[in-house]
Amino acid sequence: MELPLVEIKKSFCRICDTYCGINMHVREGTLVKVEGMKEHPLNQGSLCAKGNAGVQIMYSPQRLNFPLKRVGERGQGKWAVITWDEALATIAGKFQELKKRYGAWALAWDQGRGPVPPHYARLMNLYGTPNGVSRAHICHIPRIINYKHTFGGYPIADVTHSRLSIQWGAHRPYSSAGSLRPYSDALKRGITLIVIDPMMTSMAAKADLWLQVRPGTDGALALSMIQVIIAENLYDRAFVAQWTVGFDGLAAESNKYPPDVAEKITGVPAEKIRQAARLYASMKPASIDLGNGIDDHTNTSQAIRAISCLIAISGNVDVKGGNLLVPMLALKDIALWDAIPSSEMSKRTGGGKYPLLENHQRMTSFPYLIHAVLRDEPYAAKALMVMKGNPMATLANTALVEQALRKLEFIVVYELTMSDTANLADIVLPAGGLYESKELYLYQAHTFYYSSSLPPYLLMSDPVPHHMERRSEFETLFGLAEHLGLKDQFWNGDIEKSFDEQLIPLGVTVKDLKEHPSGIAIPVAEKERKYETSGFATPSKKVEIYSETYEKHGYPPTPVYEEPEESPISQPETAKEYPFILASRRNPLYVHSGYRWVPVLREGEGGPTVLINPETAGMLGISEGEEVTLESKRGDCTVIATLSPGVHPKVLHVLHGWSGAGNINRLTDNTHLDPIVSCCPLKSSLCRVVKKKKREDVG
Amino acid sequence: MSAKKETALPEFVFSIDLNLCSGCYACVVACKQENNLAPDVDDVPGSQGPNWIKLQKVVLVSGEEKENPVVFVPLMCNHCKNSACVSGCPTGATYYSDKGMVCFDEEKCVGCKFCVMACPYQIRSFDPKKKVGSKCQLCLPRLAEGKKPRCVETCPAGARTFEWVSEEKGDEKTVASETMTRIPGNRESEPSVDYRYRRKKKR
Repeated sequence: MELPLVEIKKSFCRICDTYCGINMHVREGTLVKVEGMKEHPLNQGSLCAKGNAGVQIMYSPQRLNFPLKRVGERGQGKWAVITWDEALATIAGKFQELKKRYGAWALAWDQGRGPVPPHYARLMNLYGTPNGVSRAHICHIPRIINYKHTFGGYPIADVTHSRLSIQWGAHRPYSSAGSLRPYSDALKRGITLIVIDPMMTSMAAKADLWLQVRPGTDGALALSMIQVIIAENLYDRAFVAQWTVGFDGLAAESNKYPPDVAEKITGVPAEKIRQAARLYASMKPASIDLGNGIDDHTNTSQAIRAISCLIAISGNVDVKGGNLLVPMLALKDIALWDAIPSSEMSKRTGGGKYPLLENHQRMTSFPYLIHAVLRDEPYAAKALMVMKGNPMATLANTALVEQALRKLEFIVVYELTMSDTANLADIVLPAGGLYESKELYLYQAHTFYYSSSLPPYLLMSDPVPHHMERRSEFETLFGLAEHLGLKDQFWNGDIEKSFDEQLIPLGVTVKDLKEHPSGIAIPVAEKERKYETSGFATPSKKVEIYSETYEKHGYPPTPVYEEPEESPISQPETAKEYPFILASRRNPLYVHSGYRWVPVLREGEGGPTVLINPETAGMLGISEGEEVTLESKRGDCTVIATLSPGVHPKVLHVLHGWSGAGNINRLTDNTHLDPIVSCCPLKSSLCRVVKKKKREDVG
Repeated sequence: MSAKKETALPEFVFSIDLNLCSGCYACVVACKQENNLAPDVDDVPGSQGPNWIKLQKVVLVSGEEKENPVVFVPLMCNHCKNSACVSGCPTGATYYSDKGMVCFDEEKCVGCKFCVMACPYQIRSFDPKKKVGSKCQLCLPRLAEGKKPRCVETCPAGARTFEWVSEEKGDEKTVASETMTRIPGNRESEPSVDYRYRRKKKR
């Protein structure tokens, strides 16, 4: 029997933020295979485990396929299938009612991870609410903000040309496998690799030097490396003198952390700190990749600032092979942030509490919003819309998150599956993004995922027909806009017209992208040392080791080190009862709380585990595969013990993102946050291990 | 179909650079998708279905207790030149192709599982639903189209290579330098897949 021919549709995967180019094999409208796109400059035909599971993801029985309306009690799990018209009309009606009764501020909106199109912000801004929240407290945005205030941009590691690379709290094979090639090439040509990570990861195993740092003490380590580099006169004097402000203050601060002192704080032997510092300062050019391991502590911002200053004095700023400030192209911003009336802006929940976050993202802090709702603060949200986010799994302190969500009058969730957050909603919308939506993506080296040695690249996906009643983010937002009377502000319903508007600054059209389904490269003039002509995009035009902006807002203007809020050193009494540091980890099979419902991925790591050092397990009488309970001051979770020699004896690593009893965020705290970006301590708090009690035999 | 060869001379070279492999599981999943292998056993989440690539995590003992390097070995069928599963198969369902790959014809399989028992690497699979064996065939249909095996294409680290070699070159293969260790080591079966690992000197 001859099967009908397969058509290849070019697209990009959206499971993680790498957005690898993919070929979708489609037979009579059905997706039958997903492979990497060979001609895509980023992944060059490779594709990670998750991407390869595309067909299972597309057609999983766990996927939501129809709009749902809650018919039982909130969270009871009783739903009626409704039409999109009814769903959108209900949502729009509710939004208008909230606006009339309270004001637009009463609606909070969450964007999870994406890409989440700017059309979502546009809709919410036109509606008039100032209360957007995002994942700033979990991932990446802390780096973007703290880098911005130091360098005026994001200093991307140009590893293709580096002699030495530091991977700091970053494990690219798990977080961004598609961007791994330049790192493999670097390893093949013999790059010197330093890995700074609490755990022996696969990258640490390949390293020339591994620093097993205590979670949350990276700031002290960075200051100590700075101390060595300054004391041994290894810093770039000319650059520091001409292009930085605040060196003397940094030198003074770093003197508090000579390697012998830092060893007591970080657990890294003093000699290794010296070695790392000397190697970084002397093997030029050298680059630093900073990852999510840094983002989830109460002292995150100061740690990122300290590491930024390490880069600043090293002579590797904006040079090939160092940390490059790559020029940024931009799509036209169609989000219309200025559409929020000023009367509403003053009603932002927690407005003024995190000004740098607000200025950067125009959003407020999600963990703060949870507290505001629980405390009945003025202008605390009454309703929440969530697109592609799952706060019930990813926000710290799940019990409080649930309490807050249950207080809300109305919740709308756009999701792939019935997540814990969706389960609490009033209306659930079946997400038809991923393979089913036509979407634009601009690749450029402005963050972790795209190589600085590649030119910017534009791609528009060619979608597979929708499965059942799913709709893309765009279709959903345009539909909701129409029901809110905003059709004329939404290109009269023409999604591609909105793309054409976004593309204007690049001189490319949707028609061009259709004619080049594999994508279009946009050559830009590469330049290092751009600061020599235009300075840095900071108030002083120099690299701000000392930040006046931080000083103005009452933050330490020069990086300082403070212990994590709940650590063996900051809370020794707590540590007597809760002696282990609880850190969350990743794996290459899932992204945050997603994709555990994909059988072929689930094979790789089937359930919640805790990685525990074998000696520690031995002392506690815990064997491999045994079920244990982890307890903190907030709550507990149940996990299976996995003995792992690469783990520190006093640190436990739990995969974050499981729902139910295995959810690590039942233990984490959300009251003490990073003061600048409101980061939650997902990777450094205290807990203890309790062997599961044997159930009594009944009868 | 070729007659059983005493010593098969493969016309290909397959090598895996363990210094690059990060245990990301991409090859395992891609292979399963390419070959329609069951994702688990009877829908039990987390159970192991047939895998033609079995990812092993190996901890190499070194002098420094705390810093035992971890190596990931994406073990696959080694298409042995002196294969136990070819010589052991009672029906000839497992056989050498004329390019030297160890291939499998499902229709001839009677489900005796001797191949599963005989394989020194324990890499032979058995499909519990169809009750016949299953094994890596180096993506023959892809090779026929001039493509590489799926696992080679998909590896994000670029750790896997597959090359045809011409017959005139005899048994000349790509260079295995003196500093490399072969994992896994089983000289008798003469594996064709070359797992290369070079121990890094820690500073």
